[in-house]
Amino acid sequence: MMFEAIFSGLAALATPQAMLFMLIGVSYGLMIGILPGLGGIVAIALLLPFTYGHELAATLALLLGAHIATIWGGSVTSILFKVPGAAKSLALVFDGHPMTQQGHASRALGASATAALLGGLMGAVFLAFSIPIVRPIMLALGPSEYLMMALWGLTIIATFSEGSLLKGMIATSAGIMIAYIGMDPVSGTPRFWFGSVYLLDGISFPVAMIGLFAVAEMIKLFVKGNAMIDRVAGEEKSSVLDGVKDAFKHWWLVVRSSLLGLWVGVLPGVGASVGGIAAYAQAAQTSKTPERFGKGAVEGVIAPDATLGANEGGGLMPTLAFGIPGGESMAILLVAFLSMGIVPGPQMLTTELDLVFSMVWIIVIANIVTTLIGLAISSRLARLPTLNPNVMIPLVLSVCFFGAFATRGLVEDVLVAAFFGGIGYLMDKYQYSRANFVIGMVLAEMIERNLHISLGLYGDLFIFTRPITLVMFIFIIITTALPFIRQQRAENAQDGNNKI
Amino acid sequence: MSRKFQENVIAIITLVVFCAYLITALSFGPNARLVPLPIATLGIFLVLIQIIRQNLSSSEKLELDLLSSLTGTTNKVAITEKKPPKENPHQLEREIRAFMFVATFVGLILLAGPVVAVFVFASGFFILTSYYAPIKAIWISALFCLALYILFVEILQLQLYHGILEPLIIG
Repeated sequence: MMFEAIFSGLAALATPQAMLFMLIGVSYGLMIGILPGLGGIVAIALLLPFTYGHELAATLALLLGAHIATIWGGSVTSILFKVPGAAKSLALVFDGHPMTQQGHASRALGASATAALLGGLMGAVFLAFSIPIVRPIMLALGPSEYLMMALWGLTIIATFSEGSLLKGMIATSAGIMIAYIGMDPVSGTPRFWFGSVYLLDGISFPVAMIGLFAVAEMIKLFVKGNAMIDRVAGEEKSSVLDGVKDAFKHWWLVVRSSLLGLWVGVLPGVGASVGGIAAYAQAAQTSKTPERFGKGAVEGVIAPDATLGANEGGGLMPTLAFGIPGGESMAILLVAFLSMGIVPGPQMLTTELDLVFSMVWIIVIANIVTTLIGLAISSRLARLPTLNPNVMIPLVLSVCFFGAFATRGLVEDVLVAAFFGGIGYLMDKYQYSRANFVIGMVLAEMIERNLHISLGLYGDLFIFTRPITLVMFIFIIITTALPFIRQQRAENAQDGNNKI
Repeated sequence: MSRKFQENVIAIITLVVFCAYLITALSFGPNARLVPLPIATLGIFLVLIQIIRQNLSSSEKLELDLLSSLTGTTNKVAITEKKPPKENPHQLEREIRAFMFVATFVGLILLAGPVVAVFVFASGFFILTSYYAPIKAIWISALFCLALYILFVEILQLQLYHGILEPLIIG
């Protein structure tokens, strides 16, 4: 069955539409990734209106291809312009930009693309090999355990959110609340609809995503005002091929960083931004010459990119198997999957196994295509001098609103996208995590459905009558409380030191 | 307006929304309010703590070092902590202008439909920001508009919305 799924997964991609969509996705992803501030989330949000009415494998190729290409695209701006394309590319700034200043931009881009490819391939292999391991576990779990898993996902996401923990939890609660607008699927009661037929259908997730991320980023760009990037391109002292050789020379660092990326990807809520920085930290800490880091060490480019590449394979596992996104980009991919009729859960690893293997193949092919295009254009990118937001804002905003309208053909969706654009801008400005908001929205339905089923099947005290559920419940309490305890201990230790 | 004042305004608006949500949820049947009610209550509780903390404490003590939380060790590599960015004196003015641009664009879509709105907005934006000369701005906007039209209407077979004005003009 497994081998059959591997081949049928690949066969589904061997259609002209799938191949064309993959190429479009990768080219579009590279373009969006290279534009600072427009990372993978915006790229996927803008693609959401195009996910209807095509072959499933082709649409997946478009989405995942774009998503994978944005990862390397984001690294480009960090290396060349010291402006991370997305938060997860921040670690690339530390050594990537000094390399550019020293005339080694092409080498840095070559090393970055190759490390991302190797990491991405490891991620795909991990995803393929983890299926037979995870499948029996998933089939043994019932609705109450899925409920606990969703709750754990929510608490861990809030705990690891960027900035204030409280604000992260508030954003998560707000996301859940938004998801409950419309008809209650269990009792059929209309909720929070205020007499509007439009609200009865609920808030469209893709429309909300377009607003929260893409429209909000355009508002942010306008408020910021000045040119996104501006520099004088110098003379190159090394080639792209030198960078490719560097990545293979430091193969053990690539392996270590990829494993870290897989681990970070599998943990719900711990996004790739943490992974990139953690990879840089481990590369610096395990290096024999740590003093070179921050001054243009190629290892400082290789480690984060390998981690970011591998992160996707790791992140897809909990997203597909349990419906719990590994991070913000996985949350938005989950929204896309749901709108395409792909429902995460045990069936993904049983009846829909060929679809999962299609995704594994897409990760492999998209990584290869991204690297090939990346290596081909690296030397030209190294001479890229400037990018201006004034040309981008009206064009991206137009695509946002056209896309919001196209989602359901309702003009009210344009208003909702604009509203969420304003909310997204304010959330970003006052550091209420938008990622938490989205993950709350996505997990809300899973929580409500599994809670009702658990109550119906096992009674009101199901937490205490189901041993695995009880263990998971205790685990949730511990993992939620642990960071607070650690924080308190650190503060007590600090106070003690101050008194001395 | 100080940052603390702005934070308080946002927190109070959030609190009001959570309270309104809670009151509305109370009118539902027991099954329909099973999850929304506790979530709204939790939200109110969290916002109240946030308001108290941001007014009594100068620093965000609940901010966690992600790396040390993950690894249980102290990160030796210097990583700049994300702090609220310093606002420039024209920030509010630019924010109002940005929101007005978005509102104008949405208003144009409602009035004239997305195709005309995109053309008017894009060319207007290019001209107002002086990024392109007027003739070039109009050409680029028209080409962009055509590309969107082909993509959405011809390829994706989208039924276009023609705006409130169309029946008034055409009759």
